[in-house]
Amino acid sequence: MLGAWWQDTVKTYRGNAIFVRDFRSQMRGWKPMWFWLGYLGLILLVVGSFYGGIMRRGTIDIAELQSILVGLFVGFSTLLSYLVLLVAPALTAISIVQEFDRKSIDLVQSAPVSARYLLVGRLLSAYRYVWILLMLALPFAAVGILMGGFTWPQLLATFFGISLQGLLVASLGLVTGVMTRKIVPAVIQAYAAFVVVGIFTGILSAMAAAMAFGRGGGGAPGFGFWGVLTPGVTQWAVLGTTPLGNWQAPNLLLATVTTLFASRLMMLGAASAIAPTLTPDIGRLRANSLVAALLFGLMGAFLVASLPGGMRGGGISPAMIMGNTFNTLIGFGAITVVNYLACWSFIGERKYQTNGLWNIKMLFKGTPASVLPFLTALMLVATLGFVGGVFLSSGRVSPELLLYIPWGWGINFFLVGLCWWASLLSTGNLPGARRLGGLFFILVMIIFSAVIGIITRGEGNAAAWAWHPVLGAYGEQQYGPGVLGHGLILWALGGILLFTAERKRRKIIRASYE
Amino acid sequence: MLEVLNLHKNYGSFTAVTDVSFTLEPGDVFGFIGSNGAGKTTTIKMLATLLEPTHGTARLDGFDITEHPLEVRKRIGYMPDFFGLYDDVKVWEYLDYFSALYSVPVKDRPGVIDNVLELTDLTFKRDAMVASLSRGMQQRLCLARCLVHDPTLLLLDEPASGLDPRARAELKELLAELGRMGKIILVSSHILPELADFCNKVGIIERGNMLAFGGVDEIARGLKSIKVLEFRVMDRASELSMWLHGKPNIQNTYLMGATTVKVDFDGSHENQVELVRAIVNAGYPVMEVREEGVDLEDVFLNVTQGALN
Repeated sequence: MLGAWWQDTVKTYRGNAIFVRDFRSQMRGWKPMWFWLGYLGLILLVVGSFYGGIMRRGTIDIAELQSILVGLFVGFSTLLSYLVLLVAPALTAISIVQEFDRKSIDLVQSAPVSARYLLVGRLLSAYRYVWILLMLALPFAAVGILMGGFTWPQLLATFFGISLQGLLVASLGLVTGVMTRKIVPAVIQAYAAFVVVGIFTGILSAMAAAMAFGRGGGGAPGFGFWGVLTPGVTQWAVLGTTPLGNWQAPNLLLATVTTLFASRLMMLGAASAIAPTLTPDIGRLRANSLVAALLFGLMGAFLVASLPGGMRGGGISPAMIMGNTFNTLIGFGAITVVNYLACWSFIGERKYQTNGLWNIKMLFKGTPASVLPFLTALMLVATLGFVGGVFLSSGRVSPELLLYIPWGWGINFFLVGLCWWASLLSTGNLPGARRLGGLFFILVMIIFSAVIGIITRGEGNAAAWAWHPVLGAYGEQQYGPGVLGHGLILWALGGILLFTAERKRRKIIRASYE
Repeated sequence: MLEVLNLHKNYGSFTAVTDVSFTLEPGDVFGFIGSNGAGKTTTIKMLATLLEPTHGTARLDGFDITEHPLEVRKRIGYMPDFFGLYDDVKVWEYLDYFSALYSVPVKDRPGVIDNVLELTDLTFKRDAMVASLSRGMQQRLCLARCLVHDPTLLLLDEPASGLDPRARAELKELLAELGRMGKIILVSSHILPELADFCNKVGIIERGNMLAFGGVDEIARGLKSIKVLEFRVMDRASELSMWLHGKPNIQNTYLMGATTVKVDFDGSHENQVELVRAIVNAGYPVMEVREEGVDLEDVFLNVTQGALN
């Protein structure tokens, strides 16, 4: 069994046919040449105007020159970051949509290769393209090194950090590629997902920087490893470290591990959606997801546990930080996953018709009846990983932290209820049902915010925030129903949605028989 | 050998395929006949491991389609009712891509590609872009793709749809040749004449139910007990027609001109021999006795009429 897994892995990563095929078509004809010429022209324009400005000044102080060159380095790497973030998700999303569009997906899937093989091929193709773009830009950046503005390790580490961003958004493109059958919506969704990721990593890097500042750290801001994945901050964060227990872990290493984890999870999600049969592809993917969720939970706990003391002051308890990190990982991390698992089209694609609410035997199969058992298992292992990680890193788990767990689970349950209804009301295809599921979530958030705002008017923002059923766990707990209360409310809402949706579904099925 | 065992597929409350069973041996060319929506494509997709059966299974060379889909995929060549071609590659690159997907060793690939191109008569297009090929050539390229890994079973879903008569004839010839090479070929179609010529077995499916399976003649014989015998004599055809009238196992007689008489005959082979002997003994100058061939279209209409009623 291990031998077969090894053979499959070697076949997937070494000499992947999709990787080779994509290279041939990416390099063919004049189109790529024109694109690269345009790309080089843009870089030349930016860098040329910079160097030109320096030359025009005639004489310049060496310290001032180096400061200008550092500015160039920052601007240049930020520009590259955004270019890569623009190109990489589009590459993967378009390649997957085209596979469906030309119906070649059935041909590939009737060959003895797994869904993972196809997606890894696409991902590696996009990653190679990212490196082509970076390598083309290297000579322009290297001029700055020759003038002494920055160093080779800085530049190469920054390029590697940018490539990680490319890998992350390329895997996002895979997910959005399988979500829709049209190129433009797939690319737009990939960009939207990238913006969300950018905001997430940006907030985390800013938090880390603020914490470093709070504890009196001097010199370069300590952005933490999230900074490596944040455009515009990468160059500051790549050579820094993040405390992990007693170890100062290199940011680049942590960012690499995080990117590999995240891209793997996204690949698993995408592969689950396109695998043609329920077994053994889905079974293997789901088993992998469980392992990844365990590791994610463990890693999240270690990172939060290692936050510097400055964050723990000001009335914010460590348990609250940990609890809300857990909520963010398990609760909001699930928004995209649940949408995939729990949405199916009721009429448009018969394959996805529901076969019940809960069937534990279907745990490793891709049917609707396996959604709740699989989500439960996924949350269980992530919770175990997180709580276990907290215990291993700090030697204890506070009861206050445990109060946050029902909330994280509740948001998943509530989302499943929403998606169940979205599936019932969607008469179109599967992507349509998924879009409706996403729309429902946005609408619910708006309605909740509006209603809570009206009810708590005059009591201030803190009260309104704390009463919000979905976001309330992040608020000040003295106002609302408390974090446990939020969890229970979400469970109740999810239960009502699931119960009513399932009743309606059975009614429709009965009617179709009569 | 392909064994299909009670293959069944439900889509929610809708049953697309109901307990289909049949067995095919190497060299069999099996025509899978049914109207649009009868369940042909669903059956083929299940055999190609692209759809999970609700219950039942199929085994190819002992490998179960649900238990060992990857092993089954190594042994099948699947050609859907659409081309699914990559138009931004050359013909040899397209075949090289699928050779790699099917784990054909790198050193063997050039030889394999040359062989399948020769077999499908596309050698002269080796370096052409796929997008530049005509529809018939694209169809042949699809078939070439199915052959790169030397599969045991070819699953061809409506392979001749949209082809001109010449391309159809070429395709039929090619499939017959592949059958002679010992491959199991399952070819679906709702255009019946295109199957009749080269299939040694047919299956008729309607509303997900396999109504008949076997050789065309075998099915026809199972359908009706009456066969049409044609006697050609040098002369005295009208006299022979009258002589035959009322003889055992003769239902009707038809005079078809000065030298030909047709009869509806419901006897056994032995009765048939007796009848011919009696005609000769009666002194009629018999030049030829012929049993009229079975028309696949008639068989299909007969079989499906019952199902629809």
